[in-house]
Parts: sequence; C-alpha cells; structure tokens
Amino acid sequence: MTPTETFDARFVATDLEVRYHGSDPKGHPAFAIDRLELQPGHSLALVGESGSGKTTAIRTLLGLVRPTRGTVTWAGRSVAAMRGAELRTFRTAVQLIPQDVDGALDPRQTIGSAIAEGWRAGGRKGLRPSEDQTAVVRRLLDEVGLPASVAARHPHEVSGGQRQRAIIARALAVGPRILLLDEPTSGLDATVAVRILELIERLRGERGLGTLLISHDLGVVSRLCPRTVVLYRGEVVESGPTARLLLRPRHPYTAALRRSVPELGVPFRVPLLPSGSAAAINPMVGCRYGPRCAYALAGPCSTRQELTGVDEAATVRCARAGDLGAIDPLSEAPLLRT
Amino acid sequence: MNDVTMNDTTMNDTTINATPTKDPVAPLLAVRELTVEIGGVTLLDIDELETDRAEIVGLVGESGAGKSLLQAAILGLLPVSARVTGSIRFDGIEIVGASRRTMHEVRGGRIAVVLQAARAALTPTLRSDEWIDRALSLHDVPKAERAVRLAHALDAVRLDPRLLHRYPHQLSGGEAQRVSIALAVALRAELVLADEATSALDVTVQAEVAELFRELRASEGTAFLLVSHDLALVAGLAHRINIIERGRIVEHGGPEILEHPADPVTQALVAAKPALPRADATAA
Repeated sequence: MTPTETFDARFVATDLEVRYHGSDPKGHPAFAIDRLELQPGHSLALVGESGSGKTTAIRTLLGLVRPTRGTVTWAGRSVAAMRGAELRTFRTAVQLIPQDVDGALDPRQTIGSAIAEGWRAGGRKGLRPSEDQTAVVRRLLDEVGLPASVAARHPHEVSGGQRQRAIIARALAVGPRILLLDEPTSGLDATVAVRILELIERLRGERGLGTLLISHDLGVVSRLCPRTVVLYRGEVVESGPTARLLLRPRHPYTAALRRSVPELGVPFRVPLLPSGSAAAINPMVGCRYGPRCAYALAGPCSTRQELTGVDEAATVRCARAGDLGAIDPLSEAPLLRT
Repeated sequence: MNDVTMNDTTMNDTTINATPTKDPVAPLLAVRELTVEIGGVTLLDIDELETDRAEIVGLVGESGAGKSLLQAAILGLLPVSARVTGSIRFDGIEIVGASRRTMHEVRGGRIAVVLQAARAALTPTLRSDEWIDRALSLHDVPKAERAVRLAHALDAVRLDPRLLHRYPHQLSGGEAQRVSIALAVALRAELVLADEATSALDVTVQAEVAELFRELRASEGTAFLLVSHDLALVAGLAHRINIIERGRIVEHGGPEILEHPADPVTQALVAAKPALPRADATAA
C-alpha cells in the first residue's frame, strides 16, 4: 500500500492568520502560524490547552475555515480556491479523525454500511481482483483489528474503542494520504487508548500516511510524533523535536505543561505561580503567557516577541529565552548550562 | 510543600492526624460487604472500602468497572430496581435503606459531589452566587450565615469574587469547577465525591484543581473519594488507592502498590500510562 501518486501531496500553510467574524479586530487571532508543513509519511503534533487554536488549525487546513490572512496549499494548490473534482480529491486525500467518537458515526447506519459509503465516495480505491464491496469492508475492518461481525452492528452496539477503530476504518476506506487526528484517544480508557495508538503507528508505517496530531496529552504526543509545535492562545510559543521540548523546554509555558502531567512514581506537582511582575503584563500588547508566567519581567515581557530560531530544528517565542536557556521541566528552574 | 510521593507513607500518617477527628476510631465512610444487583446481575461486590476524615482515597478503574454505581450507592441514588445487601456507613449513619429524610441531611450537605462536566453541573439560568445561595438555603443554612460561608468558601478555593456574578456559560471549565468546589466548602461537606473532576480540564488547570483538593484536605479537613481512570493523577494525590474492576476491588493499599502491582488489572493500568522522556533515561 505504498503511495503511488507522483504529485506532491503536501500541506503547506504560510503566514497564516485566522480571526473569527465578530471577534475583536485588535484582539488575538484564533490561530496564527508562520509556516506549517506536513507530507505523507511524516508526522507533527500541535499541543496546547483549550483556546490555543488547535481545532481552528485543523478546520483551516481542511478548508472549513477561511484564513483571514495567508494561504493553505495542498499539492501546490490553494485549498480555498479548490472547487469540484479537485476539492473532492483533496477531501478524500485528507481525512479527519474527530474528537467526538460518539458523534462521528450515523447512529442509524451499520458500521459496515458507513465504511462502504466511505469507500464508494473515495472512488472505490484499492479494489483487489475478485473482491466485492463486502470483502473490502471485511478487509478494512481486519486492518484496524475488528472482527467481520462488527460490520452488521450499529455504533451504539460496540464499545468506545471499537467505535474509534471503525471511524479509522471508514477514513482508510476513502484512501487518504494524510490523517488529521483530533485528540484520538480522549474519552477512551487507558488500556484501550494504548491499543489505538499502536494501531495509528502501524497504519502510518504500512500506508505511509502523514499524520497531524492535535492533543493536550504529552504522553500521546511523545509516542506518536517526533516533532511538536506548542500553541498558546492562538500562537506558536515553541517548536522543535518532541523529546527535546519535553526534556529541555525553553518556553516557560512548555515547561509548565510538562510539569503538570501526572506521572507514576513522580511526586505531584503544580506549575510555578506567576512572578511578581506577571500581573503588570498586558497580554494584548505583551507576552500572551505573561500573566501566568513564573519568569515574567515587567520590561522585556511587555512587548510582543517574535518567534526566533534556537537552532535549525527549534524555535521559541520568549523575551527571556536568551538569559533563561533551557528549563528543567520538573522544577521549572533554568537548567545550568555546562 | 508536602509533596505526596509514592514511597512517602509516614508523612501521610502525620498529616492526617494533624486534623481533628470527631471519632478517632471509626472511618468517615465505611463500605462493608456491599453487593448491588440489578436485573439479576451482580454489578457491585465490595468487601471493604474506607475513607477516614481528611483523607484522600482513590478509586481507579476503567469504564464499566462500577465506579459510578458505587458513588450512586454512597449517595443513596441507586435505581429502585437495585437489590442491595451489606452496609455503607457514613459517620455512623447507615445509608443502605436510609429514609429520604436521612438522605436529605447527608446527601449534598455532608457528602458533596464534584462532577466531570463542570459547567453542566451548575444551573445555566443562575449566577454562581445565586446557585450557591440557593443550595445553602435548601440545606437550611440561615440567610445571615450564608454570606459568611460564601466568603470563606471563595477564599478557600481562591476564586475571584467577580466570577460569582457570571452564569455558567461565562465561566471556563476550571472556573466552573472551582464554583462547584466552593459550594462543597460552603456546605462544610465532610466528604467530597470527585468523579473525574479534573479529567475534562486542561492539564495545567487539572494540576491546580488537584492542588486545591490537597489544600482543602489540610485547611478544612475534607475527605475526598477521588474517582478517576487516571492512575498517575490518583497516585500523586491519594493516601490510599483502590483498583476496581467488574464491580470488585481487585487491589488496594498505599500508592506504593503501583510500584509492584500484584493484580493483572493494576498491571495493565500501570503499563498503559504512556511514559514521557526522562532526563535520567535519555542523557542527551
């Protein structure tokens, strides 16, 4: 199942800014990013909490939200300009695995029928000799680790984990090159979530899929994605190799995020309290994280910061990045530089 | 601060004893040989589960394990078709088969509930102050005292008083959860059933709310039954942990039981927690 198309099935977002109609024109954009690239076989995570712009990012990439500024292109063509057959091709090549497992399937449709519908809508891709539709559905169910008997069931007759597998099977039926995964394991039991992550990893390898993972769960992110972009209130605050962000974050928010994750065998921790200067920082003109930051300084953090390169692989947006250096994610104290 | 570590059990004992206990011998909540049967199926079969005053006890299990049913039993809210045997004692009061009047005194007032869906737990048409005031009034707190209780509760949960004039839809998830917890404090609840109370919150907010539970335990002497599927969160907060599966407690003890879990269910839960890179593991 290696990719056969010769064209460049790549997402590129450039100089992107999304504001919602009716929002304060001087206020924060819901999501902004200078550049985002994603191609089949690669994976990237967007991490952040509620209001960080994760869902807006996905909706913009899918062309469901029109950016206020900048462009999203797929295979070199502007997503916003796509119409007709081209739009249909795009919609089959890029599949969303939504967060709401319960609402993603039609309750009146059997799972087999939902998968078959996806397969027909995607142009009956990957049909093998002597296969009929029933055989294709069975093969897709098998690929995601579900027994053939699930085809006859309705969504409410299977467990949450099985439902998520069925949703993935339906996405695969369309013949995608890229999966957008919106919190794919939230709401699932831990032991079930692990199996779903294993499935996503396997499919990515076997089918050469590109994956964009949206999650607030750093455990899921570190398992699935070698590269991570950390968002805070709609903007990128840090990006780089995931392991490095988690071991030696440079932005105080990344460090607080890492510190807040409960871990077995590690004492319970709360993020550091904001510094004395934090209250003086106006997030509308200064650092957006400033009012919550343990390292905020009234002077340098009161003006907007640009995203600056740490090296070829990483960027950070923090006025204090230079003097703080890397931060110990467990104590949130600057790591001593050797 | 008094970080609860997995090995640190001595500290837990001293801090619990630091809070005055009404009856030093009897636990605040004692579930004994409880079985709940609905439609001929035994859904709960709990030999023993206890919570002392000012103690945080964890109840961890996956969907369908019986976590919610056990809470419903503690609150006397099982469906009428349920057949119950055994005993649930709260401060000496038997809850199994208790009268409506008894439950009215216990439920909400002495045993409070903090739910996962923070905003949905509030009444959409009431401002937070009205909501808390109405609940206090329903629990027969005199009008003059309500303001005092509210002020204390706000202080205890570190809630900005301006948020009290907001309706639930104007609050963030974390703020709504603080309002819920403020009500428990204002009612002087002795036991809080926290049912996945932090799992819908952002991870940084979750840590703050979890810290609030620890503070209230220390300052108000509140006991918490922390019901969650998040083993690591519970392990970091609870003095004692119960692992529930198919209606039974399969393993219980201090958080140190997670270092060498004996039961396959606990082992699976421990193994399922995705590990984050550690500095000591990858010296990069």
